[in-house]
Amino acid sequence: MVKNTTICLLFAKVKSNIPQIIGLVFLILIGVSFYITLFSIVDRYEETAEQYFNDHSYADLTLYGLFNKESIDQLMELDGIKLAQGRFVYDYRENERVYRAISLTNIINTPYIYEGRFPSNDTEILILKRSATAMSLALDDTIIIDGKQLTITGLVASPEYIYLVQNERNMMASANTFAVIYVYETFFQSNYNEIVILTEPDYIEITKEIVEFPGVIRSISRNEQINHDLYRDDMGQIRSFAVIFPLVFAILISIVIYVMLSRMIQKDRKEIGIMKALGVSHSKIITIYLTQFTIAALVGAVLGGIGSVFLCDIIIDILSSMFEVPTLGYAFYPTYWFVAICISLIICVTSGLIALVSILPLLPAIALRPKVPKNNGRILLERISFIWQQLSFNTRYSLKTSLRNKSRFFAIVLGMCGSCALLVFSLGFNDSVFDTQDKYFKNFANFDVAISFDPIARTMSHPALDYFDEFDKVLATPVEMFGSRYILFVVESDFDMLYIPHEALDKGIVIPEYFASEWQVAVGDIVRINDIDVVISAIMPQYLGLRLITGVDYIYNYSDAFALFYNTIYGRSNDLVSLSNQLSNNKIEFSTIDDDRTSFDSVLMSTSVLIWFMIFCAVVLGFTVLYSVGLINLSAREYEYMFMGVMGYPLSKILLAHIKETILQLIIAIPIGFILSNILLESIKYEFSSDNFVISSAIFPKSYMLSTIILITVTIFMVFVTSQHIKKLDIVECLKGQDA
Amino acid sequence: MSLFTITGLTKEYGEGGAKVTALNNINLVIQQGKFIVITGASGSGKSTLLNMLGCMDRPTFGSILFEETDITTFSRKQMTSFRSENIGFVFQSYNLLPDLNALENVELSTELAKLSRSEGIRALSVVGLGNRMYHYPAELSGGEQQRVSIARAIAKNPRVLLADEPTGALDFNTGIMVLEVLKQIHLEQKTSILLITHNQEIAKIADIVISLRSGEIVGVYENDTPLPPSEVIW
Repeated sequence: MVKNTTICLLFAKVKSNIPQIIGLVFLILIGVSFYITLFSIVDRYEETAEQYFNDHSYADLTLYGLFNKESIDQLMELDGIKLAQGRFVYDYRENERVYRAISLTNIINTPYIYEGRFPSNDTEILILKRSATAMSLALDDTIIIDGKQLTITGLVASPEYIYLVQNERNMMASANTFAVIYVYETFFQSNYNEIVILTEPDYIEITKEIVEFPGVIRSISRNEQINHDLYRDDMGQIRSFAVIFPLVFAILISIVIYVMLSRMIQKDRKEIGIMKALGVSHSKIITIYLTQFTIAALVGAVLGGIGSVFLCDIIIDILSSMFEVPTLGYAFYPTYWFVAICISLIICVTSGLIALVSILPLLPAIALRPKVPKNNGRILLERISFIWQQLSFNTRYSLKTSLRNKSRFFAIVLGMCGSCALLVFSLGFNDSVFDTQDKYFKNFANFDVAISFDPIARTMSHPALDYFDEFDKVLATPVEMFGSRYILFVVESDFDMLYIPHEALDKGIVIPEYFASEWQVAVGDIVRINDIDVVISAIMPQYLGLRLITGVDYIYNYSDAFALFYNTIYGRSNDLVSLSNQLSNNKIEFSTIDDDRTSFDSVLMSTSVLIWFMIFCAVVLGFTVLYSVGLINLSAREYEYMFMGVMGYPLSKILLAHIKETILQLIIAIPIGFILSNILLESIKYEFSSDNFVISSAIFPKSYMLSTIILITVTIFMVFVTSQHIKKLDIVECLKGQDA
Repeated sequence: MSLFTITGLTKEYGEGGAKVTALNNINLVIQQGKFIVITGASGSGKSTLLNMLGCMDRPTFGSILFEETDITTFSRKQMTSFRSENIGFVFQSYNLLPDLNALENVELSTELAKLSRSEGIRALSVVGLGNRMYHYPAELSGGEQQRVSIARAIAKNPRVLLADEPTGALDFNTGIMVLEVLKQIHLEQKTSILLITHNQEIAKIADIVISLRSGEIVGVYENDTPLPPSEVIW
């Protein structure tokens, strides 16, 4: 019988609190969806990519140089080498397009076939599907490379081209102009210029034997490969993002849920008093309330989980435009569902318990009476009578009802702040990315064309030098520092193809600010490069393609190997078109500053996908929070508004008071939101940075304006919802309810 | 001169089997400047009738003329405007806004009538609260809160004051005090007052007593010698 009563009361409560419970479910749904989606995607991406790498034997090591079949056999005899395969990799420029032809290897770095079949002779090729799509190429189409007609037999993906990396400067080439094709070895006429290696598990690092192996000019491990580096950077970014956003969501949603449940329970104070007076035990009252919150938490969490399935698919589609892992798809992670459900339950039950604790200890007679409003409720402005008396009644009413109900008022301010901060942060992140690019091309890069080749002596001339008006010779070489590999540029003291502090070149090495921060070093500190100690002579702001730079004269004192060779030319020309033609005609592979810009644009485009997702999250969160808190506000105020209506106070004036309150909240929330967004952006900029790319935190005025407009739009929508609700208030029913 | 002319007024709630007739074919003329008490048991339709007269609800059938104007055809906006210009309300639960002090609660009314603040102060003085006008509802007793609500109702000089069980939540002495205030307003300001109550004793202070039962008028009694509130006992 008692149980039946409890259930009846429970259903009655749920029925009477349905709008608030829907708001609660919606809040949890949104939070849980984002949490499960983001964490599932991070894990899924990592698992799928690693599986893809294993299934297609992504090379552990890649050696560059000139090799024949015998040298590969000799390499196989070294300790730790499981398998080595030679291959040809050559770029062919055909009009505006660059085709990278790679000889097919049967075990290592094997392509994943989407459609078609492997070639059966050297007139047939496989091509990366994304390039084929961008270039409008299909199966059985033909392309001409180096005068040879080749037929496409398969559209593929490759583990070493998750990102369309053309070279170290052009890390994300456009699929319209760059394609990787796979051909038979017999297509090529020379020696292998690469060896791909699978190592035994304990030998994944590059040993001295490998570095000194005959013919090896350069060797890189899988982790150092740009493709893999970008993959790890993106993993890190998405993981940071997966932590930051759900965390901000969780904090905001927890506060909103707490305020919401407190209001719901305070509203039921009299009913709780009646139950206590009738002898209903505390445990039963707690059961009645916590059961509905538990149900709401469970429903919200499960719906959020279901929502995450759809959201995951959408985000995977979006991410597929950034990188290509063919087998990436949705996967169910019960742990995240379980954690999300537990967190939702904890938040709801704890909030409910805290609110109940404020009422349950009251004697029934006390609980039956309405909560005594605060005495001495004069607000600060009211004490300044010469201002206060000038204000209209409507404004004074608005100010007093706002500032005398601080928890309700500031719950809305908090919702607005959080939404504003996330919006400005998201747009500011976008600004920062563009600012980073801008700083690189305006304040750092000062060259037109760059050419990379195998190292030659500085005393030797490269055929390309004849075509430049101005040029500088550079050795770009990987070095080991603090246990990782970085690129060191060795330049002449008059090097001016990059804006760098030249006076520091002959005194030590110049490092980017990001590295200084990462390594916790300052100017004058000694650092070890490979096995030599060098001094840091300057720290410079640098955001893209991070490099260590030193002068030939300085490094010559420590290592003549660094000083004697060069493998890169940076140059300028007054006639870039003519220079490009001359280099192309002489089959010299090069990249222009425009290629770099296109590449960075592609990198930025990929980041913009995340940014728009963040903006979407911020808007959804803002809307949800404002809607839920607005609902609480409305529920607390509806009787007041209704009674003002009874008194003949027109809807327009009630709304005017409501709008004034909202404007006051916006005036407080927007500047705080701006400050929070700056703090957030500053605190995460290194989380979203990598050895290739450092974010320069910058928020443009238009982002502040746009965020403000979006926030105001959402707020106006909420005011509209409020006005509709007030219009529908039934005066008679409300009066009856009050009298009861 | 007639203030309200009620013709065939019927109010039904619900539909089908759940239909309840709260008022059934009421025909009544209410004269201006009178103190009228409407009595009846709970569920007799008193509050429903008051809601119709106060333009807070629309009848199912029938009409109510306020002087020459049919107020049952008003739009919501016109209803609001009518209430603001002509009607003062006093309810059993005082319905004061807790965040406003006594004077500001009264100002809610004077602001609508575009009257000065001094009218609010005057109204509070009339109800004997000239010295409590900056107190908040939480700082006032029940009787004082009800007097604030009366001050709020009269501050805009309404044509008619509608009081729904104004003493219902008060003890005897405080109830008498509130009735005295209403009577004083009626006599001094010539304001028409319609007071509804289930308390037959209170009817003794009225000029006219209307009795309702099950939504129908069962008696209209003109009281030639209304008692002053101080002589009423319940």
